Amino acid sequence: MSLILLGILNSQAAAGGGAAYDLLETQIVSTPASSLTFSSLDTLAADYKHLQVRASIQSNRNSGDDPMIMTFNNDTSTSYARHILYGNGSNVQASSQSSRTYIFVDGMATTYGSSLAYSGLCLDILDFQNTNKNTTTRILTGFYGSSGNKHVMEHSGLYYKTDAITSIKFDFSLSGSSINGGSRFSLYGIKGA
Amino acid sequence: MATPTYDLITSHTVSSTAGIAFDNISQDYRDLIIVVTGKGAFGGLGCQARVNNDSASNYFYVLVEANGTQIYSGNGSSTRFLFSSSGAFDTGANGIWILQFMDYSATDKHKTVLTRTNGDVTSGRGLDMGAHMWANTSAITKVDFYAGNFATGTTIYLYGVAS
Repeated sequence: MSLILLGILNSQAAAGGGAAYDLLETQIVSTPASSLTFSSLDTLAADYKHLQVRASIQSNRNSGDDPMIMTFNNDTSTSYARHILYGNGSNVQASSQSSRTYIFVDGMATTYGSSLAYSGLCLDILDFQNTNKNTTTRILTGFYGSSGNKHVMEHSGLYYKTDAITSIKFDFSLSGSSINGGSRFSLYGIKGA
Repeated sequence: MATPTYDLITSHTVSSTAGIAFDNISQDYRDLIIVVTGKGAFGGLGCQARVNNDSASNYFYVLVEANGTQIYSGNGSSTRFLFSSSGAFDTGANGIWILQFMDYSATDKHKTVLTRTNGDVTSGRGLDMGAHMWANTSAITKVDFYAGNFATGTTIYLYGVAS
């Protein structure tokens, strides 16, 4: 693991009247890492209603693109689903998956053709502490690689369980590749009523 | 303490057809988010911008657009960012553009911009998502929207998000 923790910042912000969108933690990958996890969200993000992850991501795979996966709470049971709307510049597709052991976030940028292309990713996790409903997510992601590989995608994800989300893990284990150096993941908390 | 962010850096409301430039952009943030609320001054121009006065063919895009009956994906390159099709930038109805410049201050990667566009257009495509790339590793210090793009009353907000 070669992550530089720029700050695990415990939020003590008072509710009401203050900022509504706070940086909680940033992890920058300096050398290829097999996975990246935001953990202890039950304390780190206890004062927040929603979470957002903003990231620039590259796989160290030297081929086309690479599917990333996301899991919560170290849970690898078949408790995840997703829908996707996808465009690659000439075709549009929609698809879905259910009863999976992860939320599939396919099509991340790789080193293929250029080491300078990174996927942008904006992930929203709504009501992540609520134990009365399943957790839903939304991801907007895309990249344009110098090799001509390109796409833009909107994902919706579902975690079938009602457990509060206490950790979020990203990895490229489906292809066996790693999160490449230069990748950056930032976690933000959004206040709610 | 958590760090409050998503700061409004500046905003500009269009009062003439001159171009709009955000210059000397602070490098204190990781991402920039530009929100445009308004409409086009002329048909057929789309929402276009350059960064750092770069007029080379370094701007690439892939997008998906829909108009209620059809969905479409296109791609291309240009000498400026083409943030939406001309149809999504209507002269008759206001729209919203959210442009997310990821890692704009980094110097080790090309810049990816994620976009979402929504407009109640009378023709063309009113729903748009895109991934754009500026093939340059320089930090972005200036975003210059194309002269004459925006109708009077359109407002453009520039936000910074720290990491």
